[in-house]
Amino acid sequence: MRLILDLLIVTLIAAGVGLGLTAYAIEHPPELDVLRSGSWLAFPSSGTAGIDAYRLAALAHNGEVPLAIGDGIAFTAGRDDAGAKLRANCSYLVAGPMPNLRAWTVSVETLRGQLIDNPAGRHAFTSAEVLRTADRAVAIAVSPEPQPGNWLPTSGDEATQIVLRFYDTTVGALSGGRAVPQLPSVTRTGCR
Amino acid sequence: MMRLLLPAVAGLILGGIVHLVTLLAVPVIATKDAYSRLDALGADKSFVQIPRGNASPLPRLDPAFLHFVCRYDATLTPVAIHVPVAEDYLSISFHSRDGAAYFSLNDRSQLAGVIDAEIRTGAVEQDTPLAATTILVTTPTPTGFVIVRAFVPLPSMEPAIRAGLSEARCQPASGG
Repeated sequence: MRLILDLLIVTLIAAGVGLGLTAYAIEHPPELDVLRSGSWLAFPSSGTAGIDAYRLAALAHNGEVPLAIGDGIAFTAGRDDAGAKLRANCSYLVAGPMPNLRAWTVSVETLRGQLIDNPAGRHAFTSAEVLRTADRAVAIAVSPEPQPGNWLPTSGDEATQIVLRFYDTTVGALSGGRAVPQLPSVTRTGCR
Repeated sequence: MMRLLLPAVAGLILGGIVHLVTLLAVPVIATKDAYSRLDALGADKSFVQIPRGNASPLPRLDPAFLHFVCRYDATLTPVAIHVPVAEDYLSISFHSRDGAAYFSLNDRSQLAGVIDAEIRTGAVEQDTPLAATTILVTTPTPTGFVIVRAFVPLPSMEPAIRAGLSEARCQPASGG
């Protein structure tokens, strides 16, 4: 009787701990290989055959496809430079110099990866269409209110993230051999 | 209480093992992973455009790109990939059954406006010769998928880019 009880305890704890950890890790994969630059995060090894088991499980669970490392790299900002989480009802300015590449894009999405519908059908700015300032820097407004210049519209009040994708490059090339490149700042300019 | 210590510790250790085993099993048994989500597109043995925006079965694709996908099965015959390339950035990424990106090419690898590649399993890799203009890709799993990402610099350029990629092919290699 005592043995059965002990085995029952072992089994319950093992199942609870094991399955609980896995369920948690799929939603919040540990950041084992992360590049940080300001508010921006990237996971360079997720685009390689050497992707870690946690990130691969998370991708499989979400049905996501990683950007191959030879293709490019995606930086994501879920917070502004002051550390506050991004929300669709607030306005942000993404400003600063961009690397001189053939192709890059800036887009905004919800944390679940949904694009935000807007009448203009505008979900991204590309390196070809963005208006630049005189020093070749860019300033892109992410905002629920109409903005002059480069405007990425948002609506609602969901938590959002801004995604910066650089193509035909590697992190090493972007940063000139340093570990992380200099990326634009993300500044909150107001909330609805 | 001391009596419960041993089963509790044993449970925690076993729990760690359960965690590792289930974690490694997730990509194998996931029913809504990228490969499975492509069922509905009918993207077997040919490239099919992935619907843009929130209609896409695969989340978090770059909204400024057109994406074409093809699922392959190289178990019996190698798979020939043929992608025409225009002026703008284009990449081809190769994914194993679990979604990991094991190889990629971009338009810099083109020869006379096309990229030709052949996907083979390790078993047949050495056996048959390959045309000099074709890039050999060795797949780690017999099945997998290929994604063509075509940069759309300006929205008005989308129809031309899509039309160019209607010539893309993904089919069993003839003559092997």
